[in-house]
Amino acid sequence: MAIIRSVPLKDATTTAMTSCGVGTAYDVGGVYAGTKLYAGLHVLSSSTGGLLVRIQGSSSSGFGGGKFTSHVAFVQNSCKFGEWATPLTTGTVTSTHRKFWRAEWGMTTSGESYKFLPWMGIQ
Amino acid sequence: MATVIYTDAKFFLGGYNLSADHNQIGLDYSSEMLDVTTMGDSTRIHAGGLDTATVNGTGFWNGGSGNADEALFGLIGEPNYRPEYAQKVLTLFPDGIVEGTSTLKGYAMKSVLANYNIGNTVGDMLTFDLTAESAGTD
Repeated sequence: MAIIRSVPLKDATTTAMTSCGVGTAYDVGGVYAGTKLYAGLHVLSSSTGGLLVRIQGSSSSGFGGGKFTSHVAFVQNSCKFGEWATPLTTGTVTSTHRKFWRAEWGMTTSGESYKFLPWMGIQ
Repeated sequence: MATVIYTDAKFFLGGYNLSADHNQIGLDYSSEMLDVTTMGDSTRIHAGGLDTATVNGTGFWNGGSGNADEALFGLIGEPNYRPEYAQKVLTLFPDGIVEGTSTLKGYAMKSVLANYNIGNTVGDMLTFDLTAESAGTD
């Protein structure tokens, strides 16, 4: 496979995020046998400190406490960069087929400013 | 949504948003065609081989720190000596960015920038064109 269909999980490409947060949960579908979860991140602006972006999955859209898992953790970085995460299979996304996904982002100190775009795709 | 008037493509390469630098972006996605014709066949028989994807773009040259020229010049080949270029993830959205979309998904691939050409005739805008080739997905 040469190319992945990508679903953006957080569009922070024009308005920079300046504090930690989580994005809206979206039904992107489950990771079933024979498929993989692909994920990528573009960090489009730099700031002193570091940005850490994760992709989390849950079996419910509410993402209740203890009912979700961070499956992808991109490398923490403070400068412009792009990252292609190691693809995940059913063995690494647990036996429960999680269909709801969201992005979580954090920064080392409040007040840092980052533009970024995390996406995922299941194929 | 079945059709799109092409005005809002989004093009990201590594740590750069190159959307506003381009006035043309295209994707070619194909499979190599292997000839498996044997004696007795009356037509050529083909089988699908390895997939390949190519992104082509043209736009207006934009120099200076953090702009398209800096990004593209440094990306030719495999310049892994600069950390921000170490992984050249390329993502293309055909009609804006819609979070969680099921209908306006983008196209993403690991890429290697094959060429970056600049120039034009006197009196015209200085333009560039680029070609980025797929470099796997795993």
